[in-house]
Amino acid sequence: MSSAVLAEPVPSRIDGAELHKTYYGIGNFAIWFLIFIELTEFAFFFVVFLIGKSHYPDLFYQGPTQLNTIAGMLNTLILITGSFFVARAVSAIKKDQRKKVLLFLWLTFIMGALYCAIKIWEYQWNIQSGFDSSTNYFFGVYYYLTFNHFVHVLMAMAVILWVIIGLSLGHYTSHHHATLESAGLYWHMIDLVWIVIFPILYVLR
Amino acid sequence: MTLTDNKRINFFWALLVALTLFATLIAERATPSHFIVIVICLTIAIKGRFIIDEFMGLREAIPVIRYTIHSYFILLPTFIALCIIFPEFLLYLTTIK
Repeated sequence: MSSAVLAEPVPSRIDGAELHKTYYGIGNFAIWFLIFIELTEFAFFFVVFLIGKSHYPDLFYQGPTQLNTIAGMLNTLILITGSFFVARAVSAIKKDQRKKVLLFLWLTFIMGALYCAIKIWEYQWNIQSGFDSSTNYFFGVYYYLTFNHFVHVLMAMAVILWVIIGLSLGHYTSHHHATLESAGLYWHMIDLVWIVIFPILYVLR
Repeated sequence: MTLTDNKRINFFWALLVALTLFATLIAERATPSHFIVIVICLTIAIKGRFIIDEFMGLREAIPVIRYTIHSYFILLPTFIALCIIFPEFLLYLTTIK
């Protein structure tokens, strides 16, 4: 990758994000508020899932066996690897290794795209196997939960793209990267949600 | 642990991959039981903890954030395990009489 891709870092300045970072240690008020809201939203979905499981035990026992576990596992590995790349990107920006940061952020974006491709393929596989959102209560919850998460992955990809543009414009340095760190936190949040979704939908019976 | 930042991240990524493969293997091979439910819920809690501490770097966050996120990954897997092992209680609470 040529050095022309990345603009020279702009002179360090103190902005709101950096001031928040000094208070919160990592991230800022906006990202933590968003993360807590999202985790609460998904917690409600999990409760709905468990209530459904208690009312329709047979459907929820059969449900996981009718899903494509390999697709679920691949998506888990992809999101974990995406989180790994984000963590490496944040580690690299702390050392001002901006080319490495750019590489890791693009790899994260690619992980998001791969996740989406597998999820779309999985939906098609389900439909070909005769399972759509109206099949039964289990598949209704499955589609609601996973599609909601899918939308969040798209949002996280947009956020990663935003910081890639910011990095290319020279916005982040080892002393000034609160926005990049917050974008990483959002990505980790979608990973955290998926590590609950995968076992409860695909594994636990 | 005295590993450098990057080595730590690499190590915990490998551990997370191993835990995911382990959970999938259980899904495919083991006969469902309460023990399996507890093991799977434990892997949720452990994976959550690894991501929170090692990838998100929450050790640097203020305690209220760190403890809230940590408790999410203690309470949620516990709640899931209890609801699956004792479904009749949740059924009782959510049935309109």
